[in-house]
Amino acid sequence: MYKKYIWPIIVLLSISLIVTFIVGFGISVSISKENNKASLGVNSEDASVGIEKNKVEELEVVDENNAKNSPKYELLYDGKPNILVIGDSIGFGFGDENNNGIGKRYADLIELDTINSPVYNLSVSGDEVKDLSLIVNNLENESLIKDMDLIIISIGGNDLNRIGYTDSVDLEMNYLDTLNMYKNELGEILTRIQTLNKNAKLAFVGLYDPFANNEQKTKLLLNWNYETSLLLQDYSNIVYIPTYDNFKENLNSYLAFDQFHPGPEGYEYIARELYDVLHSLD
Amino acid sequence: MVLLIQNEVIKLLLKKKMILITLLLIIFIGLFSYGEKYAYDINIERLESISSESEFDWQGISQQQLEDLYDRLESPYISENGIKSVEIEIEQLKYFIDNDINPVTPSAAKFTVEFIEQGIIMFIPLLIVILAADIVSGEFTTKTIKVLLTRAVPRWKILFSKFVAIIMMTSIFMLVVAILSLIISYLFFGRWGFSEPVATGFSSLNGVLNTNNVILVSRFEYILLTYSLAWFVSVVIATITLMVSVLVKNSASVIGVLMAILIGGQFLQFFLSEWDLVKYFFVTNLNLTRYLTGSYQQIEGMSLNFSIIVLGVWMIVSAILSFVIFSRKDVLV
Repeated sequence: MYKKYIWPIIVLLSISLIVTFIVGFGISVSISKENNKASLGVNSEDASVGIEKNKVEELEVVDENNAKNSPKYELLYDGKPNILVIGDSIGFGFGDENNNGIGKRYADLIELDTINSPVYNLSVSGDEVKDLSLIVNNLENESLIKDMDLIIISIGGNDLNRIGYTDSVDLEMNYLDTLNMYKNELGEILTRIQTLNKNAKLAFVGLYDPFANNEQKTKLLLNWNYETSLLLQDYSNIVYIPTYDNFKENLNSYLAFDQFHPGPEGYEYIARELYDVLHSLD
Repeated sequence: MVLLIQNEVIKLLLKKKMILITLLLIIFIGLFSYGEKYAYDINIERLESISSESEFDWQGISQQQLEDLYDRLESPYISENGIKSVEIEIEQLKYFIDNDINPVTPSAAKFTVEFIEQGIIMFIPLLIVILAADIVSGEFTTKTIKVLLTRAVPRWKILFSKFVAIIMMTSIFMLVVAILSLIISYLFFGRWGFSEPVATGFSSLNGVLNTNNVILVSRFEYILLTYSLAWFVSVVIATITLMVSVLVKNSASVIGVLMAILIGGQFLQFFLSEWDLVKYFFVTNLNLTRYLTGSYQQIEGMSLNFSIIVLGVWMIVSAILSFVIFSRKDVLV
């Protein structure tokens, strides 16, 4: 007997629900549709509310109107900039597709045609600051450095990594020795570059922590970055590109297969940071 | 045809499967609500004892956050998109402050959304599988397939009526989930929270989060959106279950196979970034609701549209296979 009442109720209920859900489904799809406009960089923020608030990732947005009229590199440089990358494996682009690295990715962001204006690279994987000093002082590289508009430097990671130690006191002592040597060498390198080329913009890439498992070492790395940025204050026309915080938050996606060097996403992030820092200084 | 459907629906109801999964639902919702309430209370207690005040001063913290956000708006380096995102966050925060609600306070609507967001990948599909598993294989075990097939009704109509019955019951089930979540969590939290603002409308561009079209909707509307997506997922799962039910004669095996696929598929998530093929598997695309919240790891090429298309294809192929196999199957009972 209850069959008489249940059935119509079920039919009505299910049909109205199905219609409601299809409508809701359509709305969800339409508000999540992919944006087809050709924007390069995007600003992203985690929209969580209240006390559980956490990290913010800000990437600059590119004005498309500007892009149609003049290429982006003209916002900062007169004509097509010559870009040079020097330093270690991160400067080289190890871990990126085709070893593109920071230089090429930055060139893309400013819409530089890298076929006619190639990005120069004197980086060598494994280089420490003393090796970089040799390269910068080498007479063969003099005219190249003189010609550059932007020089991106990535060095120090291998120096920091090679600090040997037996216990934590030993570690601190060796760290201080290495740090002092590094600061002296780096200072000389920067002086040398600026003697050869007064006008080039310099950019120094900060260190990130690929391991994140040893508190003491992390603190030393942070100190290393801090001392580096202090040193850079003594020089003009140089910017520091911080990577520690964002790599810390995105370790899984930013690192390459060897879990040590940056991967494509990591290099893209560094290039965008470089873009942000350089292009907000107007 | 309508009579056939009616018949199948009555059969489903009489098998009491709906009651079983509703019971399971009640137990789990109860447990989760209680857990959340407990964790929240402990947190508040701890924060109060640290600040040694009688009541937790969330207003101070929220005000501080609001001021930080306003400061950010005035920074000369902020871009257009940044302004938009910050304005949305300010709106959200202001709502909570104006209405004197602690932003992290759990509410019934918030729980309902969180429950479905968590459950859409495994728990809800599992319940649907239990509901639909023996729709065909059950007829074989009880030998009623003989009775069914000797009627003067084409085989496809029989299967189709079962299919429609399953869809209808799945839809009603989604309503049951929503209502139970709301009611039970309201008993624990005491607040509905329907009008709280939620930001949605995220999309992805070149693998990066895009906040161009972000809007604020009320929690109530957000429930509708997430449950609609969950409904779609349930329909797809139900269709796949139908196919497995046609292939396998033992209901227990149907449930076992699908459970294994669902759980095993979760492990495949780990390979999403390396192994391209994995993203065409239906299990990895079940999590549709995360596309609405924008706080997830972007995988190259996966978007809401992509997942929907993949699920849709799996559903259509399963449906076709079910009908073809069932129509041609030799039934030797």
